[in-house]
Amino acid sequence: MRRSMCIFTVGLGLLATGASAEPANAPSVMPPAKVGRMHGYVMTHFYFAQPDTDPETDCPGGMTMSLRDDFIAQLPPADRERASQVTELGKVARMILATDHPKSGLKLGEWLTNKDMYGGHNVCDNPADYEYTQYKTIEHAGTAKGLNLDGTADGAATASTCAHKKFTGADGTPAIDNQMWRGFGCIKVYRHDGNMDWDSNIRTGEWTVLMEVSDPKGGGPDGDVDVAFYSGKDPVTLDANRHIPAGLSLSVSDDPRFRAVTRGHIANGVLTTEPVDFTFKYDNQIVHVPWVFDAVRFRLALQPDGSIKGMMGGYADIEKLYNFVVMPQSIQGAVSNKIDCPGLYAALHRLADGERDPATGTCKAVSVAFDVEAIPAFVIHPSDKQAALGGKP
Amino acid sequence: MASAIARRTVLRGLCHGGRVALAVPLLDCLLSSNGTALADGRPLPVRFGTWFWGCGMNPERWTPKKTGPDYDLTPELQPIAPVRGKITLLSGFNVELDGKPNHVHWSGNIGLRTGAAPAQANQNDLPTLDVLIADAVGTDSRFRSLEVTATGNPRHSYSSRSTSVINPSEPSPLAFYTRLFGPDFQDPNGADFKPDPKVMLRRSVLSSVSDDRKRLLTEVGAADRARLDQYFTSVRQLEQQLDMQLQKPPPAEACRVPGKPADAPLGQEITQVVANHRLMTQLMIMALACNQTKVFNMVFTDSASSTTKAGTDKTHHTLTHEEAVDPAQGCQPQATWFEMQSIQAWAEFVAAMDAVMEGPGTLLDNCLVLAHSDTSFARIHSVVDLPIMLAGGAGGRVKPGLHVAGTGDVVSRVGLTLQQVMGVPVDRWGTGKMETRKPVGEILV
Amino acid sequence: MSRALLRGAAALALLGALAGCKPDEPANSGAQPVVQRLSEQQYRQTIADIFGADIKVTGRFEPIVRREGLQAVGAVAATVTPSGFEQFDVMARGIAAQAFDDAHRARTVDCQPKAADAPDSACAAHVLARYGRLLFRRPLTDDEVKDRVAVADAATRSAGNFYAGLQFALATELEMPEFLFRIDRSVADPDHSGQRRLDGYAKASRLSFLLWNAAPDSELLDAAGHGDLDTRRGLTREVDRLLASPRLEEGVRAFFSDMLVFESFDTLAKDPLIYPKFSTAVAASAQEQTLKTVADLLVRQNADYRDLFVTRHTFMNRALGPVYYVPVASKEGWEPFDFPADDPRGGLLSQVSFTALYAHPGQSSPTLRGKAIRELLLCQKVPAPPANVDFTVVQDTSNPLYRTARARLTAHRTAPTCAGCHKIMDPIGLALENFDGAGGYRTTEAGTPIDASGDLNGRAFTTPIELGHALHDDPAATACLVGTLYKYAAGRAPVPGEAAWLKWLNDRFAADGYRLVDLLRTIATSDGFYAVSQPASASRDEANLRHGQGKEG
Repeated sequence: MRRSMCIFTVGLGLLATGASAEPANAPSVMPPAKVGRMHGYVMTHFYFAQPDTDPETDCPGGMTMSLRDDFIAQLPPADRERASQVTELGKVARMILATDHPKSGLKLGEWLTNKDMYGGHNVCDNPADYEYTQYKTIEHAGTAKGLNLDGTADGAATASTCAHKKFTGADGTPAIDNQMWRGFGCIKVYRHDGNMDWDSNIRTGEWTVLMEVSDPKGGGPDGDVDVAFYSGKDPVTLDANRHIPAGLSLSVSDDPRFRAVTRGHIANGVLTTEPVDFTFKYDNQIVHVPWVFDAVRFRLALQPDGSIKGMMGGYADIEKLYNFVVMPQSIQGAVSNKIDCPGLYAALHRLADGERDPATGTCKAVSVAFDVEAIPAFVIHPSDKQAALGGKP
Repeated sequence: MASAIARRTVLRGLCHGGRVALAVPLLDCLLSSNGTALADGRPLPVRFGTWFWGCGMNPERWTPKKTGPDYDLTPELQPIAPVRGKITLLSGFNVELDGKPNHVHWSGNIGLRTGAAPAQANQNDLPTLDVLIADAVGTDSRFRSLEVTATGNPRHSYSSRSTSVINPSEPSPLAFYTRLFGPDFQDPNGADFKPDPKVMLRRSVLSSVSDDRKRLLTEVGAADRARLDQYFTSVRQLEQQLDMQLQKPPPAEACRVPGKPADAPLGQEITQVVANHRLMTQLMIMALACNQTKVFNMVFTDSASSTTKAGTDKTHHTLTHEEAVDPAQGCQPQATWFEMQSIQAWAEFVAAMDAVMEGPGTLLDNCLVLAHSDTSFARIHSVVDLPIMLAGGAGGRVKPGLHVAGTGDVVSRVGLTLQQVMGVPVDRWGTGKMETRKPVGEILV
Repeated sequence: MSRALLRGAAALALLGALAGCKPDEPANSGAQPVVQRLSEQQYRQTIADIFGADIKVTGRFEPIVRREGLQAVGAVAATVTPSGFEQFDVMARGIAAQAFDDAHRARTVDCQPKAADAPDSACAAHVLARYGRLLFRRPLTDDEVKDRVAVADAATRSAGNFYAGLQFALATELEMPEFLFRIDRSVADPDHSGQRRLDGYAKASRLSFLLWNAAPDSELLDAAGHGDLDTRRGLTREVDRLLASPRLEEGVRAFFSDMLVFESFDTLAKDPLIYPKFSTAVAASAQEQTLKTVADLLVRQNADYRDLFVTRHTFMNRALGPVYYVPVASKEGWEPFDFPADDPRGGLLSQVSFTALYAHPGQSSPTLRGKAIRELLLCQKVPAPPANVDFTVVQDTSNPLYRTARARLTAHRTAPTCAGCHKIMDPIGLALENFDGAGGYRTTEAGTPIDASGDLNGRAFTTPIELGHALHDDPAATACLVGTLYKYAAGRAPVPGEAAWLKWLNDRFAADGYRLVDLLRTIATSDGFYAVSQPASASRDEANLRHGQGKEG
């Protein structure tokens, strides 16, 4: 994730559609990239799976407050007026620095001290220590994207899950679990029209996710398959238009933590996989926090152009989720992106629906759903000395 | 030779009045009272240049109906409207192949520039007219001539003494800047001048190289003698450049050292060509204003125009051959689009030269620039009725803003005229059927 | 004249018997000695060899115009223009400054000046003579050394520093034509009365530039100085040394880069919207892939030249992986790669360096590819098209009848005015239509399956590797290599007096199993390679020669 204000348009797709007439020689199909019996892919898109709904429908009470506004709301009325007039980012930080939080008594300036990201006792590093007031979440049971993870029709509690409301898909798919969306969906930057762009991190090589799928057993187009996911060791290389080209050779990470092997089934061009825990490696200059997901399953459609497109659904431990989505923003990012850290943190705990502790009955994970796209790439294992020559082009 | 006029002294003295440019300060005080000469009596230098674009035009949409001043601006001449008063259009001049084959994208260009159709493709035995002009007028400036291209390829140059002595074009604006205004540049308007001892040392290094000439030439065969002699001529030119660096240069009123250009990508995609042409234009104009050279050659697109446009799979050249004529427009639309980019760039170049004040007028008024292409209608590689434009007043020696119809005469008349205007002592020019003694009198003052 | 020839031939046979290896080499009239400008590659290599690889050479080399299809021959016509010389001056001063700076002078100056700030003619003479010999590729005369020392001394006095003096004097050596041009000198040939041959140092240059694309090293110059290169034993010893060296690969690479016109890569661009995978990294890797293939096959494996057109063995890196659409295990660098037996690709013509270079920025081109194969690989000239040719009828890509290049070019090959030439090119180039304009493999064009069938002089094929086999079997291919290599080595097209000698070279090539290394040895150890015709009365002697040959039968 970037804590900057970069604005990228949502990908135009991998293929050149910029020219008015399709040139006769432009490639339109990406052939499979096979090594041995496995078809390889590299992920090109990974983001919150979200519907095309209006913010007003999802968040009738308004979008989430910024840290600034949350803080101001908690000030004595006399101070609120004065504080509201300060809007410039640096001044906000300094203003907060100079004032004591009325409830906790801590110098709020300490909240926003960005000592080596995690060294200072700032509000985003210690969300449990601070109160939130008016955090906004999505409360309806209407349209969203995701999968039915707990197997129930109504979200009632089970041995491993906690009671929660479900969504319905735009195409009518019932009983969708996506508690993470409830927690994040009223933060403007995380919605489709916000400015978060995780794909740029794929393009810069901060994270690479590789996938392998075997040919279906039995030889036909449908059948059982073996599926594996890996973090990649190498960044992708970009083509002349800064897209990821098909047919790259990418090595899997040496670290055994960053792989997940499971089984799946292809029917009518759709691949569904059995739940598996998966940790993705994430590395940029300052943040090295793996992304951890539990019991994820994929539902991916094989496209006519050779790419795959679909969704990943599963559970994310809230502490770990907060660590890899929110923490790397740093306090400046949180302030500028209007992420109310304590509010979000508390909301996620309230919304938690997975990994139930039998002793206490509380859940510590939220259901999640991510959109996934991937294109063919040759997935190289350390044991491949000289890569097997996979078939005809 | 140089009069050591301190700037401050001049400013304090009487000024004769005259226009002062907004963009560039003009020290009119340095001019004599009629404004056409320097205060020490020397006239303002007249510069010559060529500007080339590839793959021609569409004759029916190009040639104006009216001759003389106030000629009609046809569809393909629209871009020159803002500067048409300073541009003369010449039509109806041909290259006579004189029995030789029409070497595509070559015969027209070389025929115009050397006064003879070449016998072989990609070869020419005669010097191009800019070289002849530089030999006559370019010897007292730092560079005898300067060649640049907007295409990114140094081989795109049509300035040569012969096939083996082609002046390479500079493709990089940054490298061109460094060559002009880098460490060896002497600011003509600089207050202090001290000859650099290192330059004297360099000068002696070169004399030592030149001293080798006599002995070496006796050791090699006749053909090689000419090539090695050219080598020593090149050494001598650098010696002369260094000699100039050891003297204070005369002040140049319009000279203002430009900023260093960014390192931009080079290539033949049209946006790159246009961008690099703009950078080269700014640098070349200041090279002229700062008297670094009197002769220049600019290539916008090469003679077989391998220019492309992002997203289309055909080059300009390929389009001229393969694109169908649109009956409604009366031309090949995409090919003509590329042509119009060239004419637009030419108009911008002329306007940029006209924006620099010098003397009573502009830098353009003291220049004579020949713009032309290698062919008229590219699809058939026609070398008849070549598109030719002249910009500038040559220091008052030519009348700009006319349309002159050549009515099928040889194009060497144009080359002869240009050389005569620039002071080359020549009364006839061209070979065989292209030989002529008749300049284009209509443009002469 | 004929008797002299007989004497010469007998002498040759005797010498050959002594060495035990030389079959009858016919006489070679030779031609005028050449004066050849150093190429950029040769200039840089020379500086690296003499002063070290860390010396930076910064400047621009003006382009050399090809002649006879080769830069090597173009270099014989090339001179140096004023702006070209400006650049050589910049480079020379830069090199000289680095060579004697604090970091380098311990290595480069192997004598101690009497004082650091005063002239020392003896030490200067020693250093400048040493480098002068390597730069001029022959020892300097006493006068030349004196002149250099004079420059050094004067500069030392002016700058107050001995090393600054050396610097300026070295700069003169780097700017003299004796460095920038290879100036062949000839002497009377004692073995062939009435003929001339190159002197020892010219032989050393020829040898070294042919085999290593570099200036002669000190050992080779020593051999030349001792007259070793004029004896069969001495010449063979040096040739064997050069051929056994790993530097032979550089020489072979330089030859193929010239033959295959690789300098076009400097300005090759593809439309990024149509061929997004093409980049400067891909272009550089493509050249390197081909040169590695050539070096491995023809030098390391010492295989039959013709295998170049059919070999499935090449090298791959991750930049090229997506273009060929094959997996590459090595993250960095190159790994050996073999196309599988059932892959229709293989040989030089399937490589991106060929298919991308001979294509348009946004389209493939059967005609450009066919022309390149004819002219570069078969040495068959294709006439230029007529100036007033009209393509619009056949190039309407929106016409449903003309979806593929093949369909469009069919009109080329049936229209009478076009057919004559296009019949020579298109059927060959169409075999490579599976490669798009950036070298990527495809099976359809605009939705229509590609038909890659064609023929070469009647020999039919349907895949690129079958085209390779047709070339393999065409005798013009090997004759072309011999002719091109000789032009490259000699810096000129062959003259009529060399016809018999060239035929002999071709026969030897065949007898040696078409091995390039053997061909290089044959050329480098021959007499003909160093033969030079009389300068003034050459034409008369040549006529006598021919007359004499005819008499002897």
